Amino acid sequence: MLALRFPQHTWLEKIPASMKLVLLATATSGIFFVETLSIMVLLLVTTIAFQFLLGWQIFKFSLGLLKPLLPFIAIIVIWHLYSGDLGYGALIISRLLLIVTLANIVTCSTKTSEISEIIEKIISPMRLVNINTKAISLSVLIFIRFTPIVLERQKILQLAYKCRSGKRPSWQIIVPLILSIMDDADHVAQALKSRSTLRE
Amino acid sequence: MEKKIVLVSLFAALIAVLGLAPKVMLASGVPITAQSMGIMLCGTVLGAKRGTLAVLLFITLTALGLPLLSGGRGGLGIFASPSVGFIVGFPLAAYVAGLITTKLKMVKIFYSSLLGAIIGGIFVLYIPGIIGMSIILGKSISEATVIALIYLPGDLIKAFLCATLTQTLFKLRPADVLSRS
Amino acid sequence: MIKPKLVLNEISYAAFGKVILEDLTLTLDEKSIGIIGRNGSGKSTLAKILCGLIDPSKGKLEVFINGKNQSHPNLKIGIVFQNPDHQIIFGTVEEEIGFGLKNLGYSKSEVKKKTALTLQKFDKTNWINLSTSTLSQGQRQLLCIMSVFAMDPEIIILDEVFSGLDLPTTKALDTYIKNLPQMIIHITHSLSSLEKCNRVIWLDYGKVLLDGSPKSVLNEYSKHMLRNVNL
Repeated sequence: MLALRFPQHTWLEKIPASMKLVLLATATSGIFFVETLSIMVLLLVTTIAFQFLLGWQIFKFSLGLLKPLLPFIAIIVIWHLYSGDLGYGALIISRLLLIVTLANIVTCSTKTSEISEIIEKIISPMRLVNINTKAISLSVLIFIRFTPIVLERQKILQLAYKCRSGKRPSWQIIVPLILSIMDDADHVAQALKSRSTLRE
Repeated sequence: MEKKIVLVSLFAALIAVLGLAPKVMLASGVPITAQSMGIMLCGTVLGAKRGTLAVLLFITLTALGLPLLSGGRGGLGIFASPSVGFIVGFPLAAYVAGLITTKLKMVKIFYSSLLGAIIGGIFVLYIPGIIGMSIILGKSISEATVIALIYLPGDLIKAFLCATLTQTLFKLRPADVLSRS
Repeated sequence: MIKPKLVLNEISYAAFGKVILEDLTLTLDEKSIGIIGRNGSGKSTLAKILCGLIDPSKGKLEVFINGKNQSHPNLKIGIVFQNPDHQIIFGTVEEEIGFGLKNLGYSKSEVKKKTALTLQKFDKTNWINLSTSTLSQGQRQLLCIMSVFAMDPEIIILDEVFSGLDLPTTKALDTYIKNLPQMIIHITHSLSSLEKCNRVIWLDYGKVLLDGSPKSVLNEYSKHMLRNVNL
């Protein structure tokens, strides 16, 4: 299962993850204080240009990541057309695009291992408060391993349903899907138990 | 113990899969996904504690960059989008849904999980959801509430479905419905 | 070197009102033991009880390794299940084999060494960096066997590991299994792989129907199965 990454390597990857995260947090908070449309648009255009300079592939990729925001943008446009306050609407939209783009830049230029290391550092003191960190890392592994498998199974169930009813199912396959998950849980748990000692 | 860990991880995977499954178009033209139903199910089937863990697992890994939020979203950008309030509210929603399902033992599981799904998956979820939307979309709370109402019909259907599913699972695999075992 | 020994004393198992195993009293200490029976005869349940994953409802199981009575469950009995998808957790072969070793308490460098050694023993040194998702079904099953083998168990239980594999893959896997030095308890429907076992036990409806040399038991079994084709 692949994490979101830029299609090409960039120099951004050399910057340590912690620094990128701090910069992102600072920038995001700061941006909420900007109330002038022209400044916001300038910042947005700069960020877009920055991505463009990183490469055409990366630029296209990043634009694709903004697609899910379209429904919200539509809502804002319609709302502000109706209320007559288009300037403020434009501010909101630019701010939204700007912040999401910045966050995406950090995500797509940082190795998962780096971020998970940061998370591990945050979690490790929890061991003192009796939280089972071994169980946590095991859950992460099983989640990553099984999401594609559950996805495959869902597709097969959909296909099986379609073959016998001619229609596309929606909620009908959820019960068999969950049942298969519960059955799997039995097997996987036993396979795990046979190779590990979780009782610490 | 291993079984509980595996169930938590697999239900987290279920949330991801329900988000990746194709969207259903509501009459109002708003696409809804089954993902928030996955959140409700984590609560009503796994109970408050494990359900919340499953949701936290899902959010953490999605935030790490896995494109598992409905629409293929992932990474830190999800916290910058209008859905941020809902995402933050997901674990709370699962917790409350699970709590209600478990505490109302004397009531048939269909009704307790329905109540849990509505109170947890809608009321409790919408509060941070609306706050998040109002901040990101620059609207007042009442205005954001109006926007959130678009999701309400879909979410009510999901809550009902969730209750039906929970009841069916309890009939077929009572030992695995952790909220009631 | 004292052979490992499993002593079952009136082991019974029931779940959801159904009796799955009934009063099994056996002493298992042969090098290779085959277990056969129809689906639903209780073979898998027996396997899980033997390695300590589930407790019998009644009766006692004693495990003797190096002459000493062991506590349950213990990692000295390895088990390989029928579906590699339920067993493989990691993305690379190295991590997968290393998992059991880490759990046994080996240091990072020891884990690395033992992993390489295991791959070498199975002549798969080039597998070390392979992604587990690129392996074929038979290869994944071999990986499961290797992962268990790496933990140096005294006894390895194989629960229908040939399921879903084609004939050549089954034969290839069987060759590896025949070369394992541990005591092997092999549950399978592939009667030909059990011909060279020391002992074959036929389990039927949770009870031992026949127990003895492969020749006698397998013969009776195939005759019986062909006569009673009934759903």
